Amino acid sequence: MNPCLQVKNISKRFLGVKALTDVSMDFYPGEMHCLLGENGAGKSTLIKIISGVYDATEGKIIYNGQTVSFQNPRQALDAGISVIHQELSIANDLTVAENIFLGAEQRQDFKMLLDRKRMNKEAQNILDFMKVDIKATQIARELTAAQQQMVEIAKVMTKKSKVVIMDEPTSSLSEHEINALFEQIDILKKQNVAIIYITHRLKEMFLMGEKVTVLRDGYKVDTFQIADVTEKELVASMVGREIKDYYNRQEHVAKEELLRVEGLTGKKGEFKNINFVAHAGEIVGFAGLVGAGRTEVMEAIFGARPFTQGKIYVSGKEVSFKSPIDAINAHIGFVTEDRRRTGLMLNAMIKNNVVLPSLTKNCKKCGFLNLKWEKDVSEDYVNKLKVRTPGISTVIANLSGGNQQKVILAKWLLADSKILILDEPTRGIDVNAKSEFYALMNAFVANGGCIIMVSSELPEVLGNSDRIIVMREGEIAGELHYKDATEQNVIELASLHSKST
Amino acid sequence: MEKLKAWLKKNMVIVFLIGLCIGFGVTTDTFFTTKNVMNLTSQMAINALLATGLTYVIILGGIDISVGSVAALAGVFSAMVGLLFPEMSVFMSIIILVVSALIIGGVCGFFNGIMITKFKVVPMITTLATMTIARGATYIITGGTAVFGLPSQFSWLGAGRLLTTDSHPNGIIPIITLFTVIVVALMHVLLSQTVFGRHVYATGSNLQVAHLSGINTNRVIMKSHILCSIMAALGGVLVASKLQNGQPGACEGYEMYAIASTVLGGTSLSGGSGSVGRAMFGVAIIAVINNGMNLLSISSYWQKVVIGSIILLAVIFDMAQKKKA
Repeated sequence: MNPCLQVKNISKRFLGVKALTDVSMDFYPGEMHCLLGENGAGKSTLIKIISGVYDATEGKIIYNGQTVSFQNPRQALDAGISVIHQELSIANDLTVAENIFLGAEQRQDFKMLLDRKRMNKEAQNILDFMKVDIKATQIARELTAAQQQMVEIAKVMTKKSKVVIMDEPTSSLSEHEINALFEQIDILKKQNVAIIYITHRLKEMFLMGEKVTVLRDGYKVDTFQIADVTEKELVASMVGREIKDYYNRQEHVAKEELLRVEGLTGKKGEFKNINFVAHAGEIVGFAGLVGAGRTEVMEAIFGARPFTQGKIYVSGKEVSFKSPIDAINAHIGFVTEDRRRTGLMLNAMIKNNVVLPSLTKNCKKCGFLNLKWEKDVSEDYVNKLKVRTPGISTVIANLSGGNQQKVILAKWLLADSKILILDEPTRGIDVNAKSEFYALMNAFVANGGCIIMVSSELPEVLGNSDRIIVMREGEIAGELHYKDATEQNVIELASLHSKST
Repeated sequence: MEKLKAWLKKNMVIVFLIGLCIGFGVTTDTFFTTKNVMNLTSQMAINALLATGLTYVIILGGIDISVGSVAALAGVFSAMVGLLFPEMSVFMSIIILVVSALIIGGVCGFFNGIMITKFKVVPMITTLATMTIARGATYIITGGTAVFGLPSQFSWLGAGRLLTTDSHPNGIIPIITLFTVIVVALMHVLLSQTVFGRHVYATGSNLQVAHLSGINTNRVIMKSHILCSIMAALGGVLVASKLQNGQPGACEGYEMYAIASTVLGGTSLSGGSGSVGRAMFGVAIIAVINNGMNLLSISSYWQKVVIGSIILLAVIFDMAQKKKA
């Protein structure tokens, strides 16, 4: 069989910085070819070159036997190369059918008017073929993130794309939604579509992929047949060394109670009767499916979401937070799940982000900024947390996800947080950065801090938490000590519909 | 060389301003005379104040199109208050002008702020309403006619000059220029050197992040709108002082010049970046073009067309530079 897409000796430089150097790869129809590498390894650059966002500095792309040079994503799309981005490109106020045909609207014969009927019918045919429970006439806003992703795939199917690039498609999906996605990937493969798949989750790769290419620092390390390679070998070739203690579980000693929540119930029923305690020196994990209400509980504790009933105690004293200001003053920090939207001022410098919650307390001279302090503490934390950056004045959008996450952590450490709420703390960051982040978490609890970690990645919850609280449909379904917790029983608690467990 | 290039890219607006000045210097005999330069600075003053206030709300990602009407309302208000004190001293006139500006600016800004933060009306619509209401109020309280009969002391701040010499019997330095420089400098420091200023940038950069970082974003928005309206009102009382009367039709369309100056100075309409200092370059460009074309006796109708075109060109050029970087 001939490859349907080849990249040959591709190099890409940005203002003198080499993002890719001499990368060659072949992609075959009906195969899922995974791209693996740490953030900054060049995966995104490569797919942007393939899909016409960037021009390669050197090298060429051969598609269906011909050298091509796409000027923009539109041309690549028309030629049959689709990309499903990590951040979905769904127009919320349009219907599913309108989204599926966006940019390729069907018109009535010889007329300018849209043929809604035909679009709805064809869209529904595809959705039915995919066996997903979505109506073509539904408004996209009403769909869950997973369903929206299905709409993206339906889009790809109508375009009859030959190559489909998926950039971390599972990062916001729960386990059973991931399975639904994999069914669709199988369908695409059977239709001889070549799939280029980017993920940080090795498990998915072994389950679904045929080949994997590892990139490091813009170079291609090697391409493996997935059947012939082990997880350890992949991680080693990705970081250039073997990571032994990935989760590096440390025994924590729980000390005094720092946070107690009693009977917390949300205004819209997002969560009901939540009770739990968290102590100094421990990591409490919150597992559950996406949409189980975990984030909402955390927002309520942080004063960012109103609740109707329930009490919150910090260090034994009852508190009532009217806004995040009060929570911050009570030494609570909140690393939100979506760092681009709610975690960072992306176009601001690192130092501006680090000091933001601590400014008022530390600039006592009539409200004037203490720029020396800002510089000193930022440099201090950048060194302590080993943030990889040219300097503290770098605009934070230019850092990799893992380093951005460290800056957010620095921000809350500087604000003197005793209780840290981490919501999906390692989403979309690479293996190496993850293990560094876990080490920082361990150091924080060793110093008497308390971490409450919401995570949809089971290995992460199991590998780090001392206790695991499982939520299901807005309620706490159970609590497990880490020694009793397995993937099996956590998933059961999280997804069983009977209340007998 | 590389550094110079980078500097030029970042500061095209300064290069453009210098180019304009040289251009008018060469094509006219009068551009670089002391008299003209001083006139120029006093012509800049009103727009400088309006643009300064607007910089705050535009950094927030908002807009205020009511500044022209608020200026007019403050102007006639100060003139009417002035009529109550026919024997006023110069000092007294300054008090009247400044306090009038604080009252009218404070009230209008508070109104805008409440609408935006409490009732969640978008800034464009809020200030569109305020623009219409303030203009209407201006005509109502004056009965549609100008407020005349003010003593000459009233015009000290707006039209007075310091440093009389033999060749310049009326004085060289316009007091309005000095006053504006001081106010603008204070506002620049407030924005760039204080915690409040940083909170303005943070709120404009990402409202949710600012809120979750413990910033009272509603209060920041409220304060910024009050400051913006006070700046507009100060501009308005200076106009009244300069003319020594209160015109209900004054400052019509000034909001557009002020917004244009701010954008020329590199403040992004999407919020999060910009500075008062840089907005002043925008103010200067518009003033220089107006002034230069007056000296070249180009019709004021054409001046509008030219200014509009230059604003567009400058922004397009700026976007192109940013895209390349």
